[in-house]
Amino acid sequence: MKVLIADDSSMSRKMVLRSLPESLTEDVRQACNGSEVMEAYHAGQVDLLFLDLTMPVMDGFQTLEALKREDANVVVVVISADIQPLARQRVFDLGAAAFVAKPVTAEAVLNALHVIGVL
Amino acid sequence: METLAELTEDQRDALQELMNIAMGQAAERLALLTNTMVTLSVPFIHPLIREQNNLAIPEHLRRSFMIVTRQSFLGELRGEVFVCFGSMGADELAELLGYKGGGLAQQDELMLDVTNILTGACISGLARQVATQVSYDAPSILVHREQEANALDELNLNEHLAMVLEIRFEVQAHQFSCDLLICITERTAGVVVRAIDRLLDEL
Repeated sequence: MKVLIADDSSMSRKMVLRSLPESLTEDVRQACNGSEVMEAYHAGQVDLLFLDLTMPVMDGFQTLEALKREDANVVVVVISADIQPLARQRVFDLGAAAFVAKPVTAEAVLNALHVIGVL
Repeated sequence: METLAELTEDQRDALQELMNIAMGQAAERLALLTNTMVTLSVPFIHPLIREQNNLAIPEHLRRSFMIVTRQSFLGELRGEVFVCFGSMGADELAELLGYKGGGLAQQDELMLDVTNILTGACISGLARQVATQVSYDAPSILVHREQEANALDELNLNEHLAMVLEIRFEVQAHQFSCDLLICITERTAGVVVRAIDRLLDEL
């Protein structure tokens, strides 16, 4: 499975990477904003996307909107510090499969992946 | 010397992420208060020189705000938070919260309540992540819409600053916005730096 971790923080990307089960670590790429996510998507490099919401250039909401417009076949797990109930609702409305609140833990990531049937 | 002005790129990135998490908690509080959705900015970090002990309000805020509040936090992590409300801030916030026909005193009280909520959530969120505890002084109004904004030029903080973190909160579909300037003193900046280093070592 092709995995993409999108977050403007390198520390946060490393924390997500460290939280992944071994079975998902064979093909992992990283992006710093939504624009890079869309480039990777158009290059056929994304099956599973871990997406932050607060990013420069193109934020997570805009990325979800762009993926939705293209009817993208990508499973999106939002990992964000934006824990407002309306923000969570909006990401699900835009097609995200799961939401994990920061600071991210391996347990929360695994749980989300089980719930959405990736593991 | 442990000053926030000398952060490496990784340390700066980590601090920005810690603040991102803290401001997420503050946004949730504000969203619950206003029953709407709050838009978060990417936090901006201004490193300050060691000797600097007055607050340089960014020019873009200086042009737009009308009310500035301040609140100190104390403990192992020490500093002050300044909340800059835009010209529409008080009126919009009063409307969002259902206050009608309130006088200036009521609006001031509202600003102070919001200052307390945002400061408490942001600083407690940061303190929790760096494994320390803080207490707070009561918030107060520093500059009022009827006063000259140059009162800020005369502002002299009691302790040397190491860092200002700038965060913007906007309430979607309304004209309400406010900017938080979080000032951390140079004397206590090491608490943050050491916590960041521990986090980075674990990765």
